[in-house]
Amino acid sequence: MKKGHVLVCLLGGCLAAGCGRAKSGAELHAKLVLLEREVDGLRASVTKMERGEPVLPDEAVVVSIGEGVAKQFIDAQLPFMIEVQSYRIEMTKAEASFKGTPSVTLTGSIVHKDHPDFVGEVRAIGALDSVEVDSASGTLRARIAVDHVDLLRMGGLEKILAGQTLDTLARTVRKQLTDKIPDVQIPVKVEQGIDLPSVTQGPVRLKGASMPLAVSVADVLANAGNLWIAINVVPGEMVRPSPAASPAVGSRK
Amino acid sequence: MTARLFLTTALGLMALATCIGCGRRGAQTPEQMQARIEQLQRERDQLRARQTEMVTKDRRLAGMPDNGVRVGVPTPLARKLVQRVLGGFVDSVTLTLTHLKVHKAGTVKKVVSIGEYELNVVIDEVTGKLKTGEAVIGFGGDQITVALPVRLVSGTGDATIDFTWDGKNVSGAVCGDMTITQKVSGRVKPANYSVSGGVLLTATTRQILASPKFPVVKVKLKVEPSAESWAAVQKILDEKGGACGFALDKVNIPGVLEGLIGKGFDVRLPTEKIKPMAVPVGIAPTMTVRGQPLTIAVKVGHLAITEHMIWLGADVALGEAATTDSVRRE
Repeated sequence: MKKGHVLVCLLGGCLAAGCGRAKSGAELHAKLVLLEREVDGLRASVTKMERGEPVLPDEAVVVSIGEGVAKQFIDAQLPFMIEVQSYRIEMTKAEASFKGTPSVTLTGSIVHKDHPDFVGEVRAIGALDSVEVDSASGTLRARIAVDHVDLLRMGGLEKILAGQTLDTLARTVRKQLTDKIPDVQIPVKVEQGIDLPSVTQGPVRLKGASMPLAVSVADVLANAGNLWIAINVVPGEMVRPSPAASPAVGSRK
Repeated sequence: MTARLFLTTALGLMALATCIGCGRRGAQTPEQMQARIEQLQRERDQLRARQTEMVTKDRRLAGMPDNGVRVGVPTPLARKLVQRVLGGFVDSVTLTLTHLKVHKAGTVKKVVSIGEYELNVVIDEVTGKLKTGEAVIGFGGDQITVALPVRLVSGTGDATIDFTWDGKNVSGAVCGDMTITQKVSGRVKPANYSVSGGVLLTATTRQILASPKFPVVKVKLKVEPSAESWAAVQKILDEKGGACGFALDKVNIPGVLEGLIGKGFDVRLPTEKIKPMAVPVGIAPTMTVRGQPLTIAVKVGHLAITEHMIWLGADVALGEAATTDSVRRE
């Protein structure tokens, strides 16, 4: 065997060992991230309940979404593509797991724009976060906060990293993903007012009115495969149109 | 590629690959991470069991349907909303009757007929305002019951009295034809009513509708002429003496008026006009994906009314997006 070949074999062996360890480390890290988030969520929820507080606020409207349904809502936003530096990342699959924390895992591909033949596999682990009532549509929506990004399979990308470590790339992807993942829409509509129509003819006359409702997400809980969203609904004072107002009484502002 | 360049590249890649495992979690080794994972898994299992135990004890979850999407409205909130809405509905009711006509005619005799009279009262307008007390609302057994105290609090009425006398025989020479027209006004007597019914909940694919169901409720508007109005009528009557006075005494206009107006006028409350109210949480018919609406097929499940919650369960499936651009670019 030539000296050069020995060197190649030696380096190849070292790289394989490094990759094997890296994969193991990445897997462990992903697992750890998921577990830490879940345990944090569980601790907060159990501590609250042990203090005697209700699971969800007593007078809050409760919306429960199963994992399968949530997956549909997330899938609806897929695939989506983002560009990070010279890489194009396309997320194509989603998994939702609501046990202690509303975890979401997205997987997809990563390619270098100048080397489309090298297709790696990327995974983003995070959770549904900042659940809120969209004031314009009245529907619920949530952000996906990304905790961790793995490059599961390099697919040749390691040949063109150009001095950048996988970790740096993963970290860059993670930072940019959070802001670029589309919000998850949860098509549960929360009205922001109740209208009473007016009656202006006949022996009984009714002055139309509207009762505004202040709605806001009070709490979120993930348990046994369900995402529980507690929504505070606070009725306001009846608002009646002034006598000079148009006949369209009862319309909500 | 020279051997030196090859060596440099290979060492770089080796360092890079090794960094994947080492660069995370404060340089934890896989063994340390594994130990931490095992510790967290044990804690997680205990916490999950504890959380599930406490969640299943929550009385509000009893009777909850088994569907992919569930919406629960706590009964204290539903009570508050129904009370506000019913209060808001009834408190804005004005009962208005106009151009009501009551009529009485007869003959006055003194041995023989001395004349005939007609008394027409036109209620130009009578109005009444309603006000509610606090509704008592009960939940359970898949139904909602409502008991609502309603008070007729105030009102006014204006009427025109038109009395016509057609004298006959002897009296005709002394008290011939006579016409009296007088405007009177009064106030509506306050009264209390108790309205009992329920709220029927129906689930559509989009929402829960709450339809108030009440039996026919009639409110009686009793008008009490004011002292000034009585005095004005009496003054006219007092001015008539002789045969006319006798005839008017026999007719007893104040008595007839009391009989005609005093028994009141029935007004039926239009409870059927209380429109079904959408419980303010439901499933949206569409969601917007990349600017395009996506229909949502909803199969409504069980609607349950328990002492603590109103639950609607539904299974949903997303339809096709009306777009050809399937990739979002950021």
